[in-house]
Amino acid sequence: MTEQRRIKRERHKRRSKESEATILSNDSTLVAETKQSIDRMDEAFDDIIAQRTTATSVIAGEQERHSLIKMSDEELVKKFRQKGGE
Amino acid sequence: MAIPKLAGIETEYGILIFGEEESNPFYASRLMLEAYRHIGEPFVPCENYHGDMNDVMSSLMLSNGARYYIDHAHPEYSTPECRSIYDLVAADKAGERLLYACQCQVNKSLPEGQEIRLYKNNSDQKGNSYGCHENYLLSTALFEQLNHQTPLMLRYFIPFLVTRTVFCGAGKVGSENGTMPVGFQLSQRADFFETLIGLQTTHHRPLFNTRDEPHANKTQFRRLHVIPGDANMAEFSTYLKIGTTRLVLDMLEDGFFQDDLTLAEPLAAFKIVSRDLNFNTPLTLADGRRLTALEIQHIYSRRAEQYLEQINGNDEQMEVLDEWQDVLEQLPEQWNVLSNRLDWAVKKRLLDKYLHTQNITWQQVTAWQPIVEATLSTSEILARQTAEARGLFWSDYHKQREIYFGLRRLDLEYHDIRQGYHEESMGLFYQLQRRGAIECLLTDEEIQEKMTIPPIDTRAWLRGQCVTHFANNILRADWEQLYFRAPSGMNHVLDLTEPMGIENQSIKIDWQTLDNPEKLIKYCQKEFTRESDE
Repeated sequence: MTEQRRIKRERHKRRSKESEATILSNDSTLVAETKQSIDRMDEAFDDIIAQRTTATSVIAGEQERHSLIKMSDEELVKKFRQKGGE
Repeated sequence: MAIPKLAGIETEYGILIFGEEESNPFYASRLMLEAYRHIGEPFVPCENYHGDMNDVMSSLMLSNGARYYIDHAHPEYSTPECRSIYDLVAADKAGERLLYACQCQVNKSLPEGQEIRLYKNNSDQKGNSYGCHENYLLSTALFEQLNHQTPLMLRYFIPFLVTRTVFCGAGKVGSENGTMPVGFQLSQRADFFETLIGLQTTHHRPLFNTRDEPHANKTQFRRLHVIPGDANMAEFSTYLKIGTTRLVLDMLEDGFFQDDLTLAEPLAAFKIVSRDLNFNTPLTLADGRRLTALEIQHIYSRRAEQYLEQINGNDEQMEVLDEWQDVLEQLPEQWNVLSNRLDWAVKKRLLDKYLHTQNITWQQVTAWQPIVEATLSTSEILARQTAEARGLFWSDYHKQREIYFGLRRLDLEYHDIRQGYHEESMGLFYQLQRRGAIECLLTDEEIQEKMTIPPIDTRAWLRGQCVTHFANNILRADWEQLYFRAPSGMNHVLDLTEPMGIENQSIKIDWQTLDNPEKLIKYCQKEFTRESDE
């Protein structure tokens, strides 16, 4: 279990019948953590999209450029054809 | 008192060889199975096998208690039976890693310019769907009730399955299978369900699958095969999907859940829930009431709270309840807060940002989706006429087309299971996780462990350990039996039809002492074997 998860689990035990909102307002550390977490998420999402819109491909790795880097979004999507399963 | 709901997940992966003119999924899947031999972990065949072990086999039982096989044209991984939800989430993630390891092996052997990729999703966005099925151990009594008393299943279980999409959907761009156009929907699978109840899974998919293959002592146990769920990348989505479903099944088994929530049109409701990103569209119930998916989920979660109070629920159950209620509270207004742990929310937020950079709205995507799709099968002239008839400007077409395929590529790449050392060799989900944008439930070590070690508290432990120690002496394996060939030439069957009862016996086994198969068989003869008929 991750450290983040362990803390969350402890928080759940502590919470009992209190609402998450009460905990949030009473727990300044948690508020800071949550804000940090949201900032981190935003930064990550923005970076990925910035790469996506400036590079030919966000997924083409150094050793893998040969096949994918030249493929447009439309070509890649069209190529992904599967058989039905289950 | 409800029995422990052991659970497992079986996932069919999308597969593609880039650089080939026509990617052959059968061939690609065979390469993936064959690659397992090079991983260096023990395995045994699941079918009668009389040939050279170097030949390709299509179904393997692994040392971690899982099964890895080819199903139709997909590599498929079934986790071992797990008692703890954390074990199951770890086992599911371990499956991804094993397949990624095989993928790397295959890529080493492919000709220059070719590369194999795997996607943990459920649709090729061209009308072909493949499954991620959940399996739950039920008492025979509950299984018979659900399977043979349709009203009970319709009243109490189907409404839950349909509405849990609000937290366990993996998200999808566009619509398929002739359903109503949409820019983004919560579920990958909702478009593909066409009938209410049925045995089949590959066509006319039923919301409630009646498959009755217990893989256990059927007088006591049955396996509920749940097929409408999505394959999840986010650990939390899997956790909540399994945890809440187990709670509902526990309530049903104990006769605790008595609220009749029969949906007037369950199949239509599934598609409505999947498209309702505001969570405020009411579903009509058979008794005339109109409730949103969230309101229905609140009814289940409140009952679960009362139920757990009554039975003095364990820590794992209480934690699932807490998380479930948290998510339901956040959903109407603050879904963004969940965009670090629910798949559809992560994906939606990523795509929102992409659309923002392009100055395009989801309404535009929804309006243009059928037009762009139409151009794939009909002429642009017809598509143009349709677009103009709907008040769309054809001058926007090329831009909208580019955005639409950009969105679909991001959607697909989210499910790319690559998790290499560098960001360039990672799928989008793992790029986000690496950057700290995804909440993980498990440590790296916990997932790594489940690649080779089975859960200790189900029959999977004995199965996996036998594969580890005696792979060369096992003729074949299935979920409930291992067929041994003893040095004496006599064959024996190790009976695993008791899914939970092996627990204590297996822990007693001293694998250091049982250092050859004869000793194991002698021990097992006393404990759990019968003579083979083969």
